[in-house]
Formats: sequence, structure tokens, C-alpha cells
Amino acid sequence: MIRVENLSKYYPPPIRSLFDVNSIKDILFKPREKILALYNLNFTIFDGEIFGMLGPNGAGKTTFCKIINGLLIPTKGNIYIDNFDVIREHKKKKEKILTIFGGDKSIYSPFQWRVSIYKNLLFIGRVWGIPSKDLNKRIDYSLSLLSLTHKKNEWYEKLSAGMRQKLHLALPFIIRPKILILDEPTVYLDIMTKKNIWETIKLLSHQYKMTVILTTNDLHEAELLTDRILIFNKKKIIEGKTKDIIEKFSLYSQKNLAIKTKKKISYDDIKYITNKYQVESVSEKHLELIISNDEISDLLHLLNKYVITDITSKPISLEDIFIKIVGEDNEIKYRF
Amino acid sequence: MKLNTDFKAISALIFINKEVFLSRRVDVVIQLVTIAFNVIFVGIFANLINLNASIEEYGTLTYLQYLMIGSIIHILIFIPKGNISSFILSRLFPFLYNSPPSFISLLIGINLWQFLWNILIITIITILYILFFGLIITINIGAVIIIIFGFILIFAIDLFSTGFRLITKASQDPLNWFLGVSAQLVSGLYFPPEKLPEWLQFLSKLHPETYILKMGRLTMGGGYSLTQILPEFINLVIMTSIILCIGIVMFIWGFRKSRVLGTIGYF
Repeated sequence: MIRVENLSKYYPPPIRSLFDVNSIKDILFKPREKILALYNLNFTIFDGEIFGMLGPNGAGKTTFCKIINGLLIPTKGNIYIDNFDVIREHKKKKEKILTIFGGDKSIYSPFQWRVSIYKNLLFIGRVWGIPSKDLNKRIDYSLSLLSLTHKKNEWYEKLSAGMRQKLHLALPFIIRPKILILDEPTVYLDIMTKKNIWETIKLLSHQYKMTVILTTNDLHEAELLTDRILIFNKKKIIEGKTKDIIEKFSLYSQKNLAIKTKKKISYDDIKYITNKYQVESVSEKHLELIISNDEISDLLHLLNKYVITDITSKPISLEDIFIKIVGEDNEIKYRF
Repeated sequence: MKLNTDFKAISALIFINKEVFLSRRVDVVIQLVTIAFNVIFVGIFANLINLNASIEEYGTLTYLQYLMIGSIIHILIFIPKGNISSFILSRLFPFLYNSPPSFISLLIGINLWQFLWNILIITIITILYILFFGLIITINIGAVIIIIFGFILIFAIDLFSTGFRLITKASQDPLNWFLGVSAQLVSGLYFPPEKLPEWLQFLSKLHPETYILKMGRLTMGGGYSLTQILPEFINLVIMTSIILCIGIVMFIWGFRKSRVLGTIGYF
């Protein structure tokens, strides 16, 4: 079990550019703002679950990954894994956690460019102390699962970007950590490769009972993979079972409606609706929007004069929820 | 169990660094050809030079002996230069930092291939000079100890430099750059420091490599034992110990500071 308690991180103020300084007084007395990255995060991740961490760019997902990896010291708070403090007892957690980065961060992967895939995996397995007799079997198994066996003896640099990203998922099969952190593992990938990676993540979670922490911007991915999610933007906004969150928003508070009318909706009414509701798309005879249950009757009353011909209610997606709650929360300024 | 993990990690790091190194075949060939040319040219050049200086004071009978022993010591003690910072600031570091082996074993492992390769190269060079240019050297325990202390001294300076770079995130390494350049100019690597202008001789006296080279030449060239150069050796031990302590403190401070600032890592 992973417990995150009161985790906050303020980065020290950046060094002031000389062009921003008007006088010596500025340098000496003008206070510089600390930058808030995380504010008082509290949540728990249970053993064996796939936990999604969702937030817009700059929400603090990377900062959290840095802290749990021991590369960043938080300003306040702790992360506990099975009751030991990750920040102060870094050595103890080393065998438990493996972090894999996607997208532009994968250039910092442990793979050496001019070495074959097999030798790279052999190196990583040996560093993690995997017994030699198991290591070859694990390498072969992971490469066959990822359909990369035919590339085994090719240099890492010869692989396409998608294959490189996919190859990183061979590591948890070889190392078999207790906790796997995947930081945007499918960013920039095509849908086929994404699906392959999603299947692999599910397999890892089921086969080895790994706890998987998935940070992502892809809400479809989160909806498909995660058992529970945390939506945050520097501070926690909502945490819970993925299904519950979707259900809660769709049943009790919001609907995703598509309405068709016989007559053209007037410009003034379109303007009014656009300002009042979260409109997804709008045309003269068609309207798509997310609306809370108690506002539906008002809207229908307004549109009645245009003769409603069709109303459909689509299931609300995690993406709709995300846009709504993070959008609202963006109003808050987090600079201190 | 823990020792076994560390040992496996060291051997894995030697393995991967060897693979990376040998994957650049053209570079390896060029390096070997350059060494062959250097041996020939420096050997001939050193035999032609008649230096108006008392190189006998250094325990060396010929300029070739003076130059070659100096070069061997210089190469050996400078092996750790820049290695720690290039490891800490490398893309491999965050992954290795979170792997089971200890930090020390990772540090040893990441540098060991380069160390072994350099030892191999220096051995080949020395054998070529002995065979073709009549170089005479004495390898005694004193020479080995002096080289080890010189090595630790440069390692300590590199620790200090890494601490500095971690805090500033500087892409340049000014301390090691200055150390390298000044070592070639004032430490007596190519000619005795007494031949320098007086103001440069002052710098020469401040430079730690001046003393390491002198003691190295006396032991390797003149066959002196440590007891015969004891006062200078004690100075070297004291200086190394002090710089090592400062280097460790600076490194720990820099590493911690960079963890607060978020300047290590790759995310």
C-alpha cells in the first residue's frame, strides 16, 4: 500500500533575469515568488490496483514521479510504501519501484543507442540482480509478448520511436517490481501501438499483481485501464473508483445531451446557451452539450419553440468530467 | 547477498560500457592508430631534445624518461577527471539511482571499463617505449602508492566539481578544465617547472600535480623508496585528505541541493 500524506512541493524562486530588474532595490528587496508544484496531496494506492493520476499539463504529475523516485525532496509531507518512508529511507524502496517514462522523456531511458536490444535487456536484468538462468527466459518471454522477438539482435537506435516506447514495457516483465510507475506511456503513439501497450499493462497487473501508477493525459486510456483515479491540478480535486466517478457524474449531476430541432435556433438563443452551458458543438438545428440534471427542463423549455425532433443522451465520459472539473479549477491561481 | 548484487552490477556496467565503446569501431581504430603515431613521434622528438635543465634532480637520466614517466603518471591520475559529473548528469543516472545496487558500486562500475581500457593503453605505450626507445622505469610499491594518492586527489577535485555542477546545472566544468590546462602548463609535465618565469613558478608550487609528478619520477625513474621522499609524501597525504573531505562535503551538499531544486533527473 502506498500512502501519500500532506505532500507539498514549492520550487525555489527562479533566478531573476537581468532584463527584469529595474534597480538595485529590485534585486535586494523585491520578493520573489516560490512556485507551487503540489499542494497538500493526500491519497492512498492499494496493492495490486491500477491507479490513474490525471491532471492537465503542469498539474504536478512529473513532480510526484520525481518525489517517489527519490530525485526530488518535497517541501512538506511524506510518501509511505508499506509503512516505510520513501523520502528518508530511499534505499529500502529501490527494489520495489520501477518507473518508465514515455514521450520526450524516454530519451532518458536506460537503453544504450548502439547496443542490441538483447544486450541492453541483459544489462538491465543484471543490474537488478536477476539470476542468470531466469534472465534469458524473461527476456525472450517479454520480447515475444511485445512482438519484438525479430528485433532482438538489432541496435536500439534502429527501432522506430513507437517500438522503443513499447520496448520499455519489457522491463517490468524482466524486473518484476512490486510497484510500476508509468509516466505517460502511450503519448505520441498511434492507436494500434496504444492498444498493444494497454493490453500489456493489463497483463502485467493481472499476471504479477503489480501495483501500477499510471499518469496520463489520455482520458480514454485512464477509463479503460484504471481501477481508481485521482484527478488533480496541484491539489487534489477528486479521488475514487473510476467507474464510481463516471457514474456519479452521469447519473446524479450531469448529462451529455444531443438535441435536434426542426426550426433554426436564433442567434441570440445560441449565444445565451453557449454562455450558460458547457457546449460541445452547435449549429442552427443541432446542439451538443454537457448539462446538469436540474438545468435540463429550463433548456427544453427554451428550445421548445424550435420544435425538438430528437434528444439523445450519450454516456458521459471521463473526458467530459475532466474538462468540467479541471476547467473550473483552472480559475484558481497557484503562485505564492 | 548485498555484496553479490553490487558485484553483479559492477560487472554489468563493465559489460555495457564495453559494448558501447566497441560499437564505435572507427573511433577505436583511430585511437589505436593515434597512439602508435604518438609513440613514434614523441619517442623520436624526445630523443632529439637536449634540455638545458637538471632533470637528474627528478631521478630521470634522459628527457625521454622524464617526459614518459610524467605522461604515464599524468594519464593514470587523471582517469577520474569528469567521470562523476558525467555519470550523475547522464541519462542513465536516474534509472541506476533507483536500482538495487549501492551508490558506490554504481560509481565504481560506471568508470571501471574506462579505467581498465586506460590501464591497457598505458601498458601498451610503456612496453613500446621500453622495447623501441630504451625507456627505463622502476615499478616499486612507492610509485604505486603515489599514483593511488594522485588518483584519489583528482577524484576528490572531481567530487567538488560535480557538487558545483549539480547546483548550477552548468554544462561546462570550469574546475576540471582549469586543472587540466594548468597541469599541462605549470606542473612540470613536459619540462621542469624551474624553467618557467618566476610568477608561473609560484603557480607551479600551488599545483598539486607538481608534487605528484616529482615524487612519481623519483620513485619510477630513480627507484627511490617512500622513506626517501617521506616529507613530500606526508604533504601529499595531508593535501589529499583535506581535499577529499572538502570534495565529499561539497558533493553531498550539491546532491541534496539539486534534489531540492529538482535539477537532477529527467522528468
